[in-house]
Amino acid sequence: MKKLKVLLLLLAGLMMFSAVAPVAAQELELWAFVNTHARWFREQAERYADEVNPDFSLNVIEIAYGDLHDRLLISIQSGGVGAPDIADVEQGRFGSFLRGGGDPGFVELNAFLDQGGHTENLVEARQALYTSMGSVYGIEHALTPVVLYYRADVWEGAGFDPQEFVTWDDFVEAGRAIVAENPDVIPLHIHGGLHELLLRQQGHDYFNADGDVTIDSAESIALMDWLLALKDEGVAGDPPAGDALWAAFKDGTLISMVGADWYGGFFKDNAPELSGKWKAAPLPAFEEGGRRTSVWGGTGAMVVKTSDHVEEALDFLEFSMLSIEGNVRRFELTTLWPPYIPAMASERLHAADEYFSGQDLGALFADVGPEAPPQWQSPFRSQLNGLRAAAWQDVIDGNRSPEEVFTEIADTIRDEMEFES
Amino acid sequence: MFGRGRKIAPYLFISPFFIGYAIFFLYPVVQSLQLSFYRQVGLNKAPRFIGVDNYVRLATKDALFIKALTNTTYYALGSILIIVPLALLLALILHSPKLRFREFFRFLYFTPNITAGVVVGIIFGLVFEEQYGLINNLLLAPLGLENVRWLREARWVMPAIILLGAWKWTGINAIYFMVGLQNIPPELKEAARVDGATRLQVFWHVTLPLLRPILAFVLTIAIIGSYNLFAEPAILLRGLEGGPNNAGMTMTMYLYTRGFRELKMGYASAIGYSLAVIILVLSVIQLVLIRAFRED
Amino acid sequence: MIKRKRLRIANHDLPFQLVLLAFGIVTFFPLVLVVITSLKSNTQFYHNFWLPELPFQFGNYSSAFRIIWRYIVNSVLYSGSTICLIAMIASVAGYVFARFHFPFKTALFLGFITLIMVPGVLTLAPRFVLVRDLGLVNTPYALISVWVSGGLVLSTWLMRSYFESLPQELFDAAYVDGAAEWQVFVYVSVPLARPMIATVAMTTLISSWNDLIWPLVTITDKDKMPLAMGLMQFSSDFETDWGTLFAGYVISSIPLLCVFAVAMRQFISGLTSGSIKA
Repeated sequence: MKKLKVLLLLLAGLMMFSAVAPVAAQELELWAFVNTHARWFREQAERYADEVNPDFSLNVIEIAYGDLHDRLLISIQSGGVGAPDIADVEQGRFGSFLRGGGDPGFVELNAFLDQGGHTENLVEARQALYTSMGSVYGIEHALTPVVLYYRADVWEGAGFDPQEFVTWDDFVEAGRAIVAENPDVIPLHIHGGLHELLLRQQGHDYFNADGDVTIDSAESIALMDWLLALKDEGVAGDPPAGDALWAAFKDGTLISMVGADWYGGFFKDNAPELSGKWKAAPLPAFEEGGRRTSVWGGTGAMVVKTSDHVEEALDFLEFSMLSIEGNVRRFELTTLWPPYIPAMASERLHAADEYFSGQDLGALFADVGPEAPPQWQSPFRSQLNGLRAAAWQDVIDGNRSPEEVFTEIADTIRDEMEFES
Repeated sequence: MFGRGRKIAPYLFISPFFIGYAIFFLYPVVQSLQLSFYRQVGLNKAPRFIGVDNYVRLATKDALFIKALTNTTYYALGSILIIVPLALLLALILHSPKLRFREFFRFLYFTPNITAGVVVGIIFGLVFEEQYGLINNLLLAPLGLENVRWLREARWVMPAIILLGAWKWTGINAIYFMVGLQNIPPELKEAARVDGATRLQVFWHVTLPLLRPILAFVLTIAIIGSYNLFAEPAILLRGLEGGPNNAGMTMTMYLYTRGFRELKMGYASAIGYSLAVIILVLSVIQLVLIRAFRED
Repeated sequence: MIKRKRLRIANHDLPFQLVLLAFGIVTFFPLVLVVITSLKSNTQFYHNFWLPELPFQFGNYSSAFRIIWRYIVNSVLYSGSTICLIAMIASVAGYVFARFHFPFKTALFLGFITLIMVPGVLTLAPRFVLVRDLGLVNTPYALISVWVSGGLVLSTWLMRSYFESLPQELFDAAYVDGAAEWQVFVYVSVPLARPMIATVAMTTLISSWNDLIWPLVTITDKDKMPLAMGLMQFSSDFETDWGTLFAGYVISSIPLLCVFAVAMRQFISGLTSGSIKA
């Protein structure tokens, strides 16, 4: 019977297939969700193999943001089946690994960091994002200081120097003048993270240090109202996301970006043709003498507990993430400002950056870095982000008031917390 | 029937069927019922019995569940209203005896159905794109209509997904209807024609009633398909939140979020069961409406 | 006279052809766009969204193929095994349900057929727990076992109604010749049921080939992904390279297109032979 033959052939193929699944001796697997990180990890792995362990090889796999965290969570829930040895976990999604019992499935790093003398070398406020009940599970990639990226040609051409802005009022005033000249331009881009990071600039956040929800605080609502008023005036706007966003940067609709250190790398990757046109300045403060930066995002490298190569993985992370060379190289490749204090003094962080009109970005980050506000982790953070993302367009379009939406989100999260306690 | 005294043989032959079915289908169905009365967050923590709390919460407190349910129903109704008449029209044309290129057209209409969901999602991302997109540029602009913010305005999200669904499913349903038409004995129609009925009357009084079982089949498949809708909106709207105001969050996206992002296994099971009951009720209503019951 | 008749037919045909063509364009245009985009470089894509641009970038296809072939092979193996298992189990079970009489037959049959309305997502969570406890996560067996059991219900139903519709005389001759039941099944019934087996195979092929959510929760390893899921991974691999991305989409569509171009007639004849009379 032909059918039977085909079947046997297929089954045989299937068995061979699962038997041949690659299990190279010293190959470690790493998952990353941004190509800038992946590129750096590959380079570091080569360097590690050259200098420390010639048998070492690292298979860096890039997976889309949502997909990486979903798959990692599932594989950890299944006892580590198919999990990588090392994974990049974004701070906004780390919370979901803490659900259901508190053990996120990653190697606890306290002893490792203490023994190597690394604990004091890492910025504590950043490490807090990957810490739960005293256990540290990740090593931060970036301090994520937020600065004002701006199109120097446009702003300076209109007679303004954003380096001179002291408060947001200065920014808004200049923005008004530019819009009066050219109504198509959007001086302030209200992106999905803007409200959150400006809130932190003010010293608040969606969760406080005790883990309570505070997205419905008076400050949070007032801030959103302010952003919406700017949008009504035409000083701020929300172009579509994805490729259209980069198109808007390229055609000069968007002339600034309030973004963290990693956004510099995004620019270089997605809009190489704008090289030489950008600069960056400290964020304008909300009042004179106020904080000139914030934090946005952040990603921790973690070692999966069930890995067969925990020792090797930790060695590699120590070599790459906890060394001056690794941190400096990461900045050179991706503009991620080191959260590793000994690296901050390196001269190489101050090279002129061609993309940013020859500016010394390092000096800027070093300048504002120490002011970076803390950010608190919560197992409910990713759920809150999901709720907020869904309501976002309604708030931006003025269909629903920030107060109504933020109160609703906060109530939902509080209710969830109670239901699960 | 054959009187060969086989007692165990039939059971033996159907046992592979039942074993597979029992382990991977029946057991989860039963297990799901049990789990739905427990609170289990994550798999590495002991579940806790909480009675009907999950169900109570779903019905009274979970706005997102209601939202997903409304969205999915909206999609089901919208897509059925577009797909069924279109598919029927196509089927009638394809069935007409003297048509040329029939094979070609049949295959053409079938292609969307075998295109992977991820690809469909990406394609329609370009179709509905605000500034450069196909519909806004090639359809609305020439008519002097303003750009529609398809994927950013809550009220346009579901129409966009319905259009996507219509694109993907009309062809295969036309084929189902065509098959139904082929199974209608031509004598019936001829008899009616001889009796002096017009073309329309024949369609209305002879063809359509005979297509009822097919209609029931098509609607059932459409309802089940609506509740399984996942890949296309997830890709189209860049995430499981379903775009602005969760306007495109389907039931499966919602269930996946609760079960596999928030790891609420017990709760997800309660969602599944509520869903099954709803689908069952819908299907029964639908069958009653079509009065296909008289068939068997 | 003859001439006039022919003219009438053509006239009769023309509006129909036009309607079909209009639908055809709407149906096919997005797919044509995929092909057009697959032949562009990024610069060409941003320069002109919708129209083809010279020179065509055929290199996109080779770079896409290097990645996508793996997922296609995986899907062929997974869906192929699923189809073979379903075809065997369902034709045996359908045959037994159709032609044997035994206690509780109707009850058993109705018992499982009612569950056909249960959508797959209902049991997503417990199925995952089960597959995890069996140690099948991240193996092909997680996919095949669930696809087989999920597809069996409809397939057995289809096979049963087909075997029921076959006239008794076809079998009687074989029995008279002294054939054993299994011989009747293998040499008489299965060959007769070929159109229906083809239909079952093809519905199984579509549903397993395009299933995304189940692989999404059970497969974590890039090398083991079936195509539907691999396409997601592929999309993030080539996020900023539209030409290669769409070349991959074209390549990924070819297997099913080929199968259906060849077997469409079989598929429809299976459907026509009474399967979806409900």
